[in-house]
This record gives sequence, C-alpha cells and structure tokens, in this order.
Amino acid sequence: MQRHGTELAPVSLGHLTEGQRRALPAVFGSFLDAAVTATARATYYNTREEQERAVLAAHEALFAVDRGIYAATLLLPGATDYARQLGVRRLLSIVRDGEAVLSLDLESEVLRRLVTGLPPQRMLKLFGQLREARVNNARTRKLILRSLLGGGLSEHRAVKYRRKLACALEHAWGKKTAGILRSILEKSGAALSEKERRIVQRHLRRYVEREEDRNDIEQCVRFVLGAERDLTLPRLRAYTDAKRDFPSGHVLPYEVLEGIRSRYHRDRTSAEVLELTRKQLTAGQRMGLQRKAREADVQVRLDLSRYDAVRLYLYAFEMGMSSDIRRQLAIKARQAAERLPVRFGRVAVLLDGSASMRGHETQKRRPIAVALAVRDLLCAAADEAIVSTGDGRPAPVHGLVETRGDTSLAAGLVALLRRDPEAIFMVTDGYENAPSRRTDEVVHAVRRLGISTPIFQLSPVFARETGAVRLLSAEVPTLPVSNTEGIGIGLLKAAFEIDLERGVAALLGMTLPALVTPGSVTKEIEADA
Amino acid sequence: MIFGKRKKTITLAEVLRGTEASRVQSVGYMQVIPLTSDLTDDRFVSPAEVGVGVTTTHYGTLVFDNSEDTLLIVPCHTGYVVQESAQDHAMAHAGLVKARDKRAFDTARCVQQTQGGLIRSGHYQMIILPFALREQALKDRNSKGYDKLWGAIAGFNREMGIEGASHLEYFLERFGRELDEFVAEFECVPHQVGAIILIDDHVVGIERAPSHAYWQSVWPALIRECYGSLAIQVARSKGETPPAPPGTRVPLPEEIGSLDDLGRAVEEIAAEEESRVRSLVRELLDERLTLTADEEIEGLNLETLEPGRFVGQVVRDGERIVYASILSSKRWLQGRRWAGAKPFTI
Repeated sequence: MQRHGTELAPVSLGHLTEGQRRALPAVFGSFLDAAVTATARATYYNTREEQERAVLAAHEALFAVDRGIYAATLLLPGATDYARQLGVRRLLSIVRDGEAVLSLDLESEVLRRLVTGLPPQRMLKLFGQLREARVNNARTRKLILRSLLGGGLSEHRAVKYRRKLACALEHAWGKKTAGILRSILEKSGAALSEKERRIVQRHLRRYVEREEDRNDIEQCVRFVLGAERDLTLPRLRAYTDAKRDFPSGHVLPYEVLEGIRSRYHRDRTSAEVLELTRKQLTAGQRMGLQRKAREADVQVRLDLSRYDAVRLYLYAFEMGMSSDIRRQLAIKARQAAERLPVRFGRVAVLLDGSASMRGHETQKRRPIAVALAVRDLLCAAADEAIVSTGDGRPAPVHGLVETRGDTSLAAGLVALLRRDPEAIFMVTDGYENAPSRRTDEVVHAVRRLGISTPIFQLSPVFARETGAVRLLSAEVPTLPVSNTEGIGIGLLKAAFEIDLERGVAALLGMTLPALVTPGSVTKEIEADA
Repeated sequence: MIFGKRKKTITLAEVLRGTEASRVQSVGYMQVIPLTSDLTDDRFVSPAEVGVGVTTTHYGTLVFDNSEDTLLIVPCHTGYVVQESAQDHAMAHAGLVKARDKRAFDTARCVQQTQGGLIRSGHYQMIILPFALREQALKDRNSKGYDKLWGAIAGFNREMGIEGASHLEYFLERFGRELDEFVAEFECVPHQVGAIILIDDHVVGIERAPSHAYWQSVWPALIRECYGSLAIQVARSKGETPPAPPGTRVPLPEEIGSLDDLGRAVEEIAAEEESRVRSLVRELLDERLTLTADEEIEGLNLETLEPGRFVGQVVRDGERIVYASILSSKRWLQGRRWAGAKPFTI
C-alpha cells in the first residue's frame, strides 16, 4: 500500500513500546469510530452519559499511545465538532510528556486549525469549557487570542456573541488586563502614552494578522468589553442606537435585535423585528433558493457532474446506465482515488450482490449503490483490481450489478485469496445466510494456514432494519462507509492494520499535507528529542 | 389427489408440485429452503397491494376492499397492528375476495384486549400471526367471537416474559429489533414463490404463493411475525447464547493444508449441509394431508387441513395449488421434543 501520487513522508514510531504498537490499530480504529460518529447526545440504545463515557474512553486510549496521532486524527474530515472540542480540551489541559509523532509546534498548529475550524458558537463554547475547567496555561491563552484576534472577531460576531467573547477574552487576558485594555482602547489613538501603546501591542496587536483589520478589531474588542462610546462600525453603532431608536437595528442579526426589543422596546412585536431584519434573513434564504433552483435545473437539464457517485448509481438503476453516466462515474472514481491517503498495488474486491443489498424501501438500492461506488474507487486506487461476487464468479469492474439471491461469501473469499492480492475488501451488509458464519470459519481457517493477507469488510450504511453494521467475523476489521468521501477514513484504518508506519504517514499526509513534507516529521521528532 | 364429496386427500409433494428447492439459507436456529417456480400465476393480489383497503366495522369483523382487477387472496392469519387508537385485529383463516369487491369477515379476532375503537378504512402494513397463535386461531375459524384468541395471546406473551393483558403489540414491541433482523437475514431469490421453513432441525412451515410478486409482498410478514417469533420462542426455551448450530450444519474441518483444500472443503460441506436439510424434507413428501372444503369462489376452493402432522389451509384451482400455508401442529412438535428428550438415567 502506498501513498497516492507522491511518496509519503517517512514516520518514525520508535518511541512506541511493542505493546503500544500492537494496540495502536485497534485503538486508532475505535477512536476513529468515536470521532466520526459520536455527538454529545443520547442515541436510541445509549443514554447521553453512557455515550460520553464510551467516547471519553476512546479518546483517552489513543491519547495515551501518542498525542500526535490523536491530534492529527481530529483534523480528519468527518470528525465531529464534539470530538474536536473534547480533543482540544485534552491536548491543552495535559502537559506534553515524552515523545510524540508531532512536534510541539506542529501540535500547536493542529490545535489552531481545530479551533478555527469550529463554528463560532462552538469555538466560544469550547473557550467557556476551558474557563470552567480552569485551563489557563500560556498555550491556551495564546490559542484563544490567536483564534479570536487573528480573524475570528468581526463586528457581526461582536454583536451576536458579545458576552461569550468577553468571557473568552477575560479568560485569556485575566480580568485585570482586560480592564486595563478597555480603558486604553476607550481613549483615542493619539492620546495613548508609550506605555499604553506597548500594552496594546503586547496583548492585542501582535495577534492581529492583517494590519488593515487592526482598528476594526480594536473597536470590536472595546465593544465586547463593554465600552460603547464613539463607536463607528455600523453594526456596533446600530447595537447602541437601537436601544433608543428601534429601526436603526435593521442591520443587526434577528436574535440580537429581538433581545434589544424584549428589553428596551416592549411595545414592539417580534413580527416587527422579523420584518426589520428581513434583509438579513433573506441572505440565508437566497442561498437556500439558489440551491433549490440548482436542484430544479438538474431535473430539467441534468448535469451529471454535480452528483456524487452514489447518486449517479441510484439514478442509473432508476433510468438505466448510459455512456454519460459511466463516464462521470469513472471521473468521480478517479477524483476520489486521488484524494485517498493510500494507493494499492493489487487489490481484490468481493462484492455482495445479494437481495438484501437492495436495502430497505425507504432507501431503495442505496446499499448496492454505495457498494458499487466503493468498488469503482478501490479499482481506481489500485494498479490491478480483481472483482468477484460472493460465490467466486468474476464481477464487472464497473457498471451495475443487480441485487438478487442469498448471501454466500466464503467461496468467493477463498477464490480471491488464491490470486494472492495485497488486500481483500468485502463490500457487504454483513448479512450472510448461505449459511451464516461460514465466512468467519473460513477466515479462521485462513489464519491457521498462516496466510496473513489483510481482509476488510466495508459496510454500506443501512436503513432501519439493521440498525447497525453487521460483522461477518470478529477477525475482520469492519469499516462503515456511506459514501466515497468516507472511504478515505475507512482506508486509513486499513492502512494502520497493514503497515503502522505507513498508516501514520498516510494520516499525516491526509490531515497536514502542507506541513508534513518528506522527512519533516522525523526531523521534528529528532529536534524535539 | 383423491377426491371425495367434501374431503380430499393430497400429499405434501402435490402441494409443492411445480416448484423447485433452491439453496438453503441458514441463520441461527432457522433454515429456509426457497421454493422457486416458473409457473407463476398473476391472477391474484395480496393485501399488501396498494389497491386493497382494510377496515374493521365491528369488533371481530375485518373488511377487505379490493379495488384491484384481480382476485384477492388474504393469507391465512393476516393481521393489522395499527398506530391509531383502534383495536388491532387478525383473520382466523385465509380469505378470498373477488376483484373490485368488498368483503367482511366476521370471524376475525381482536389481538389487543383493552384497546377500543375501530380501524379506519385505509392501507396498513400487514402481519401474519405468530406461529404459536395460528393453530388455535384456525381451530375456531368458523365461529364468531372477537375475544377468542385472548387466552392464547396471554399464554404466548407469558412464555415470552411479557406480563399484562392480551396485547399482541406488546410482543411485537419488545422483540421488534430481533424480528426486524429476520427480514434482513433471509433473502428472496429470483422466481421464488414459496419456502420450507425449518427451526431447530424440524420442518415447521411450508408456504406457497401463486406468483413471485405475491410472495415478495407476504414474505416479510411470514418471516418476521410468524416464523421469526417461533425462532425467538425456541431460542428462549433453549437458553443458548449464541444459538447452537442445528444438526444439519457441518463445521469446517480444523485440519486444512492449503487454500485449495479449503476451497474444496467449503464446497463439500455446503453440499453435505444441503443434503442433510433436503433429507429432512424428503421424508415428509409422502405425508398425506386431508383437506376439508371451506368455501368456493369463482372456481377457487379454500380448504383446511384436518389436524395431524400439519395444520393449515390451501387455495386450490382444480388440481393446481395456488396458495398454501401449512404449519407443523403443536402436538407433533411437542411429540418431537418428547422423542428427542434424554433417556432417564439414575
């Protein structure tokens, strides 16, 4: 397995113990599942607390092996904001001790990306959590100030999240410094003493990335900290003016003006607020309408390039396969393969085309559509691909496969193993009935024979009749996939199983491509040591 | 077939005539032999068709409104467990409704003891009564009385660890997830028109439909509520987790020398398992079934098996069986358990 296109940066995992190396693939896989799927909410089967405990355990386990891998994994596309919040808190609150795949500087860069990648309300919630947990080391303070003053503080955010921003800034500066800054910023620029200039420079200006934003950000900070005199930015002025003159609040976000109305203009109605801020709302609505119009356009004059591979397969099942669709599918597969963290030499795909792959009525043919998109991607990501159906018959390397009949994968698996591929991917819902558990028996027999060819199960997301991914064998790593984008993450799991060093290199190549150039990680590690 | 005036004798092989056995599907205690046929008969619809409406007009009366152009065969023990505040009902037998006709069956049973209200006319998802209730329902099929199944439901629920009134939906809710899995576990094969169902190495049911389309529409209800419930019942009574494989399963040999050997072994044990399951069915093919005529509509006869090794109903068009739902009798199954019991030792 190799990195697609360019050679992967070499990664040294010499600092891991043998036990940690052995545990890493499973720990990484478990963390990946948690990071991609878990939210801070109860599920059908688990309470919020149970869910949280399980998620925290997964975080703790990978962090204990290597905090660098942990941090980089959080940057993967698809990791939830909740996972990222938990990760940032952990990384900031636990001091580095010992070696890690990422240097301190790289880890700080990962932290900055994690934080600035959060939606503003979640970023501020995270800062609130850091405050509650009394995490206030220099790194944390710097991170908060860089995130907010380096581009995260606009007049729109200042009026919308004023209180939370004030809390975050006070947490970073301390109340005393925040008070001093407020007093200084209330003065006009010319009236500042040299000492005051130095204070502003040290605590504020040095975090502002663009010189031209400096005045606006200083004014926003002043506003956030409670000083409302001599404001010139339109939204900040509107905020203060609207308390006296209700219509001047028309440039404010709906919820901000609604807050002002409920306190200063009780004779006004919420409907008036809505009417006044209609222009603000319409911006979002316009976007929605554009999307709708685009959808309508697609219905009239179908632009196949706008659909992902799964949608194209669903469409092909419905309307019949055409050369245009086939061409688009090939393009999609090639593009998706180029984004993958790995490339294969000789890969085998065992395709389950049984009746159950048709899926539930509510998501008709989605499982087989996902399976076919996955097949295309794997074929595009390999120098050579062998595709077969469950009973060992060759299957097409592209195009439609009709779902029919029972599920028997064992014979097909043995047939593929005979052709000595680099890895085998079984694309199946995991429901095996001719007979059940036979694949599990075969996998055990194969391992007893000393054959270590990696075997993976890729499971398309299912409708309600399954509820969860069904394992063919506990010996086979199972990677849930719902679209081709998610396969990259699934393949990372596979990469960790096949070759640990290359798996970690693939992870870093996927999450920190610009920062991690060939050799840089090793050098960073050496420098750190 | 031997035709008498009111009674006929038929063998099981004749019920299955025109069908072929496909590869066995086997999961846990349950095994299914799909029956396929090219002799598809598209003259009939099932209640799962959109054009078939259902309602209850009185407690104990299920009405089927067939707006389709073809005759409706209501499968034996079709039921409705509805979301609305209305008493759930099930048929005590199969039914025939002419094309573009409405027919009331006043021998239906309430399966939700303490719920009042009538099912509003509409299209609902059908179920087939759990296996454990079907023989009792069939026994009293000719008598009215909406409450006649309450005792059996209460007993069934108790056995499944469910306390409370005679509500079938309690069972369906408690075991909903497991029942859903049966639908996904067993897959329809092309041209399938029926199935032989085995649980714990015993043939427990033989189902036949007139066409593949009809079969596809009723199979989920059969595998889910009817036979799925029996599989759960057997699993509970045996208390094995996970279920021990049935006697017809052949494990892969431990000693295998190469991939070629493994490939051969997979093929050989598959053939051996197939052979074992088929032999269980083969010994039943000459079983004689005595049919009693219940009614005749447009040349079709609805007939009921006289209780013996099997119970159930068939719909016959002349000599041709177009529909069959045949179950192992409770008495026979208990007898098998007795025969399989360990000999006394002291």
